[in-house]
Amino acid sequence: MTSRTMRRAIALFLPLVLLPPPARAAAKPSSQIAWGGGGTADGQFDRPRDVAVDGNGRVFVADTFNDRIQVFDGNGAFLFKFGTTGSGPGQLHEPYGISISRDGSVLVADTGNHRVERFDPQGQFLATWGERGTAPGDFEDPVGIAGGLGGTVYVTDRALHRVQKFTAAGQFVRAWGSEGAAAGEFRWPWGIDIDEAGHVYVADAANHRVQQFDFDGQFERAWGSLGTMPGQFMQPLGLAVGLHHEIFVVDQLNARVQQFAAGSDTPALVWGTPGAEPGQFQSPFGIAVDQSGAIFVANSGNHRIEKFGGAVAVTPAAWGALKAKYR
Amino acid sequence: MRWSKPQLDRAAILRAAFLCAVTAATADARRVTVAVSKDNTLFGPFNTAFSNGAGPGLFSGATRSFGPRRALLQFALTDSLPANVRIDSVRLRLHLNRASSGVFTHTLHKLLGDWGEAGSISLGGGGALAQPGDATWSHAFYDSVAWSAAGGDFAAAPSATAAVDSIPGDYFWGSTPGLVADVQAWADQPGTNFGWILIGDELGTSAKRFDSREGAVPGLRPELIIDFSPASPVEIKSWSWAKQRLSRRAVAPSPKPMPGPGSAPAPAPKKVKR
Repeated sequence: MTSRTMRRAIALFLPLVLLPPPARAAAKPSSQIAWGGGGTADGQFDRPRDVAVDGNGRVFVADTFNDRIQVFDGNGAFLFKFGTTGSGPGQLHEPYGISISRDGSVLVADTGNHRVERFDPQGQFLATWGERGTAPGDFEDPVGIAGGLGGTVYVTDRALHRVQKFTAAGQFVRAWGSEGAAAGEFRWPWGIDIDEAGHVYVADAANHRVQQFDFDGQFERAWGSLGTMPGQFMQPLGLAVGLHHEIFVVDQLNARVQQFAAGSDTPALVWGTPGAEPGQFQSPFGIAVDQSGAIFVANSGNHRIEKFGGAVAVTPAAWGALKAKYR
Repeated sequence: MRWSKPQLDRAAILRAAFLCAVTAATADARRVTVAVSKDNTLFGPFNTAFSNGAGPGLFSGATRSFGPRRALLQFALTDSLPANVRIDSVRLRLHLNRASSGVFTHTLHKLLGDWGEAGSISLGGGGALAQPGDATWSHAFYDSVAWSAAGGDFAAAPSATAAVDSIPGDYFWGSTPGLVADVQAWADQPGTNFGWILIGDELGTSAKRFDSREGAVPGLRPELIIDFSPASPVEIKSWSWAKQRLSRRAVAPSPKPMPGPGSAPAPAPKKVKR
């Protein structure tokens, strides 16, 4: 081997040796901040069911049983709130789901009113659609909501076991799913999110699995089963796609979060235990990831939002890209 | 009006017999408070492998997050009730410790088959994986004996109903003729005692959480309050029988009330004038 070849070999492999190991050895995210507490004052919650983060790092919380949305900065400082109890425009009744659309507007699954509401980034009411029923475009229990590509909106309906897709203006596009355990069927579809490629991920809560579809609802794959082992679930509820297409799933009755690389059935990270201490969960529901990779969990039974950080987001795709960089 | 001697005798005997019956009823009435001997929660309709046999909460009603839940309760009566009793009234007391807002009717139905309580402990209201022998939505004993119908085998007609608010505290079912009939049947035939199932409005968000027998505070655990009396009432079969019985009662007081947890002090036996 010539010295030139040797230098090239060292140049190729030395960075890999010095870099942190890939996902399986990555550190679990640690609890950085938690805020809230049970109550009705600003900054307090009554069983918050979902959380979303906008492009400015502001954290929107569905304060479900206080019938309102509260907005915080990324460190938990209260900014403002919107929504009051009722069924009029801009009012809320037990909102379970919240998401930020690609244009920055705020989408709310107004569950108790069987509808979707859209607000501007300052909480001003913009639009609503849907009513109680089973026809296309109707809702019984809308619980999960996500903004897709081109302003589309996807909504899960727990009671009707289906996902509905709407245009940005709220026009019904299509629905898929019915009660069952086969591919494409649901039992209590809950959390939903869409990645940059348009894949739709749905937490199929009472089937204890996650299902992946294309942007129009064609089934692609499913993973998970009932249990307590890594990769198994007991009622997965919240779901979010991270910066590197990793999938975060709130495994509610196991009181933990599982993080999957795109395409993987085996979690790269699992964290959380039952309890009320920092980093512990009691009846967790929603989850969101901000643009820095920080993770926010609606720790519902503890009436608080908990921010996690410190995870090394290395995915197979990222690892491959890293290796390719040194080829 | 002048009464002849035989008429006076009969009137005196009637008065005495009436007094005797009232006194006997007062003296023989008992109250016993029975602690729950077995309880569990069924979680449905999809989480058919979930249970809460050893958890501190009993759940009924429904939530969006967890669907319908049904509480099972059984009270062992053989150690608390003597044989051959007449059940006069029955009340079930449950202590509510958490609830969704609103008032909802929760009904008690007599269970028609046996069921199990094992070691599952629910962290919240969603249930935990059933342990072998736990009752679940699909199984009376997981996972060997299934219910005939998912959600439990119970009498269609409720034995009692109660409106349960969201305010924590004690809530009572009964006394109703249905509860009395259930307990009477169980007292007469202990082998048919499978307890009750508590069912809330399962279409709304009617969820209620009560203390179970594993609850931290003993005084808040489920209780059954039973008033009963000896099964053989005082009845006048004939004048000579009544005379005979009256003379016996005058010298033979009733036996002492059976002691039991929470039993009310019984009045002292009274002599009856002839």
